[in-house]
Amino acid sequence: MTQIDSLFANARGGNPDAFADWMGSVELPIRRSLQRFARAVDVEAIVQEALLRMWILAREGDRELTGENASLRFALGIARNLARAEARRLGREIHLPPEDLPEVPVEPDPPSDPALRRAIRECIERLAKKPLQALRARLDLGGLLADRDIARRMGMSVNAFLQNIVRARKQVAACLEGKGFPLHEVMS
Amino acid sequence: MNAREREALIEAAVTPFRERDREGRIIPPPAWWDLPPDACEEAYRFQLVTREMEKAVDPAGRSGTARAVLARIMGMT
Repeated sequence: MTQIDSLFANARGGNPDAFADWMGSVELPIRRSLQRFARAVDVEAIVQEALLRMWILAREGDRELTGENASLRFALGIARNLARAEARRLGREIHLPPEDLPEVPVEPDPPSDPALRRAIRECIERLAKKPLQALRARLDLGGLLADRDIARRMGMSVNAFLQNIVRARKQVAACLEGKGFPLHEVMS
Repeated sequence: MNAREREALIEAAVTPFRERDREGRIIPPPAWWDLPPDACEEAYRFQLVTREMEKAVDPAGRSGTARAVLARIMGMT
């Protein structure tokens, strides 16, 4: 049994913490598999919906998943089907990749790079006050609150909040580049 | 749309926060609808980087996406 399968087995029966560990190992491969759908659909929404459907499977799951990295492969299939269905629903089929295009092989998420994460933290801490505040708030609360609510808490307009994050992102990118982590490698 | 407006629009689509419609479907943020196709790809790439940054600063190493899904799960459980 692979590590991913083992993590998913732990989540069976509906253990949210175990499911969170499983999500940590499959989120990136799922997102990468959707790159070719990025013009057609909001990839973030598809990733979240696919993960939620996997939670239902884990919680109620009497369905047997077999084979190596079965839970990841199943999640990739869900994500791909969701992306196609959503593109049709939104009337954006024109941006879909051809159905007969071979699937891009997607590997499980490699272990996180502690050096990269340390560099990210160091680069964030070097930011000027307002970009730092805006970026930290978005990174900490973005999964739970809309930008308008985060901006309101910080006493900023939504536009000022977004412009501060844009500035922060550029400065962090330059800083990471200087530390030997060019952005195109982080995104690859 | 000038470069500054374009950047802000892309940034608004990078957040992991997603509203839901009446049927419970996760919906794209309003800014996403205004993005031209090449900017959608740019938003996708910034999402990749941002999720990595979120993991780097989160004590449990979770991305904003994972936290959003967990919050939803807790509401569902």
